[in-house]
Amino acid sequence: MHFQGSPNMAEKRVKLISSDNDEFEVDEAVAFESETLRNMIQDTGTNVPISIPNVSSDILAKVLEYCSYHAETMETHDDKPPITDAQIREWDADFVDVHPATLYSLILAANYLNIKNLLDLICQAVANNIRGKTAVEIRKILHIQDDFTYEEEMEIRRETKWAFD
Amino acid sequence: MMIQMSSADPRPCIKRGRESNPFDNWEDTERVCKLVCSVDVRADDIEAEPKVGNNALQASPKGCKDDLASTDCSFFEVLGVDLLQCHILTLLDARSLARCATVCSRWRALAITDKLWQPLVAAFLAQRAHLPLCLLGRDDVSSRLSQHHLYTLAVTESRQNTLLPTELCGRTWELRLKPPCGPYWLSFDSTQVGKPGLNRYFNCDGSITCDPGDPIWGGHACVWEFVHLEGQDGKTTKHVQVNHWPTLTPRRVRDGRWILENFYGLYITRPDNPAFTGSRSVAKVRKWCCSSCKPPTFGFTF
Repeated sequence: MHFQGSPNMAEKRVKLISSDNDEFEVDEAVAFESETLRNMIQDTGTNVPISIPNVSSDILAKVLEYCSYHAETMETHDDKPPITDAQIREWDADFVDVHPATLYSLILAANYLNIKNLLDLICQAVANNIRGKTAVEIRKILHIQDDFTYEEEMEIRRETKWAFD
Repeated sequence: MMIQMSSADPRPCIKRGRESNPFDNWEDTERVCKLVCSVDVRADDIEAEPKVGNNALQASPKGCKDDLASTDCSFFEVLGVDLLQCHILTLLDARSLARCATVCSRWRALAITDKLWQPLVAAFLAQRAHLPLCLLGRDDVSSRLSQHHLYTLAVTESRQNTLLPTELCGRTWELRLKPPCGPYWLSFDSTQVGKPGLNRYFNCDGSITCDPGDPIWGGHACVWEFVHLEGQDGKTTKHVQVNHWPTLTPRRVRDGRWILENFYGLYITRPDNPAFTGSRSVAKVRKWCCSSCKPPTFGFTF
């Protein structure tokens, strides 16, 4: 399986292997969006495929989709108008509009691959999901078990009353 | 930082507490997600993405769902402490963060740390004219409390809208006169020309005192008391009577200052929070005259 990054960019291509042993080939510029990959490539060059053992194919594809879009926004083309910040924000908003479970996998991948902008983007999306929700709603959304004793719960409720009015 | 996320080797989910989670079933959770976050994954949308030509993406919603359900791991286990605390909780406002602290014991441990609350406390207090009376002049107490407690205390205090005797006697009040007093009396009110006004001190023995050299302090006794008046709607409201003057109605403004007002003038509390006044002077901390004047601590014990 080959991941098609945007053509006509840097000539060097990088091969990446996901945890499911799928091979992705992207432009070096796309891979360079990730600090981790940049360091690896600078160490080993582009001839050796880089194995990413803790990112699955579907998540890696998503991550590379992000990287190639953002690598592209850095490029200047004579024939095309530059991509505006508003367009990028809109694209980013669409990008994080996915199932929460996908978001969490993406956070882990972005953290491991050290793609700061992607990590910030997704954390912001998760924070937006949590913001303004009650404890019960957060437990439901994030699949968390309430482990307070009755006494603890009463004490916490009394103290945190201001946050629930 | 390296995190294992292989679904074959899930880290065990610690379970305590008295009952099983009714939302253990991921199907339920997923439905709630759709309702609450309006997250709706449409496979055809992803397919339509022009640059992506592989099948992997289309599998994502279902694949992830299975991952989480099969491991029965909570969000916490999946994400890890560092990511949750340093990258997500820092983005929340105080209200949302306080709610996160009530989710479960592990979230609580993460969500009440001083590092997260210190900026929130600073931002909150910067817009409050008054510190809670129980903290006023008590740096020893403030430094002992966690930032989360400090915030809870300050925000609980800020919601008090009934003027208590301790509040009346604990703050320094500035006298301001209004035009109906006439030009003679108005001329004594230096706030009319943008200068600090005259200080008045309510005492718990029912007396009112002033600073030495006050230009309009008469030879007569000055006294105050609470009076309860019945309004047109039948509700009783608390007012303050000073001498034989028309009663003063208490209210609180946005920044937390108290105002006692009638047709002829008003008393307004002087800010005593250095973070609020900046370089301007703050009111001196008043000494408690008796044990019954002890300020409320809103359920906290110091």
